[in-house]
Amino acid sequence: MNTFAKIIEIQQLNKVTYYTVKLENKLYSEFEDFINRHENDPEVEDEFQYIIDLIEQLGEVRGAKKIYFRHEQRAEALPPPSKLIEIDYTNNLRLYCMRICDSIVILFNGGVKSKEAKTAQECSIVKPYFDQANKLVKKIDELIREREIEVDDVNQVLIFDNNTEIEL
Amino acid sequence: MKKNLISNTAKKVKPEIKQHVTKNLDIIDQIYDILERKAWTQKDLAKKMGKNESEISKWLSGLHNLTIKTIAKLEVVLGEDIILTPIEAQKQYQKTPDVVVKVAKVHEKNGNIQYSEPSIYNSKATSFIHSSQIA
Repeated sequence: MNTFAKIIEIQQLNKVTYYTVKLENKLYSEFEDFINRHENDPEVEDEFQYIIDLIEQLGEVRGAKKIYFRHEQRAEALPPPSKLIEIDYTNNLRLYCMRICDSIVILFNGGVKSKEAKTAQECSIVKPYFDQANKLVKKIDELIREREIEVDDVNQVLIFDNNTEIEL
Repeated sequence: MKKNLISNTAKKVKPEIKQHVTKNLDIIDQIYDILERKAWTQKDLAKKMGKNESEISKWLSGLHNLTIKTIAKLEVVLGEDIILTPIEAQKQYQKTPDVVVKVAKVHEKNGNIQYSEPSIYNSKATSFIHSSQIA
């Protein structure tokens, strides 16, 4: 059975508006869930704070410039579809997100990768968030291409109907 | 959704972590500024450093904790300082020669552009000096 999700705004800061998604069967949005699970975890205290402050500094002062996110060069003629971005400071706690443009970012969820796993896909804790984030990026990309979601980078907002749903 | 979730969560971030994030991002900005002026891509930099492009990409995101050693290597390859302490910056700026600029007031009279007698502006001065005051 398919799950549906909606995009909701987290906060509009000076340079970036952050969004997240809320799945129909969850009490909290994905980013709220990420905060709830890690904010008070002493094992990842510094990493969590680094990620949050990074999000805030980009949001208030610097903008979500491509250079701040790890990305790979692609030699395609057409603009590539949005890529899933992994905010991962020390190869431990990671948060997945989707950079739409310098002024709009969608924050998803994430978790603590186990030391034994080399990649997120090999980690039973992080893999579900990685897989979900990948699906969300693809679906949101489609909605943008189909103009069901419009990107207004001047006003730093996504424009979409409140009934717009992402089918996972 | 709690209001101002990001700002409110960020209020609890320790000052040293805020400083760490700021310094990391400042360094990234500086490196990219140098790359832009040299018209180098990340690929060019990777080649000159003998590294994989993906490794350089990782270094140059805001998420990597660059060591002083790595920054020093980057500075050598880029041929410029990335980090400059205030003491070093002061020494460098003190070597900068004075720049004297002539500034004339431009105004239009009866459809003609006219220039008033130029004043001389000393880059270290805090006020304009009229040309008659120059020895």
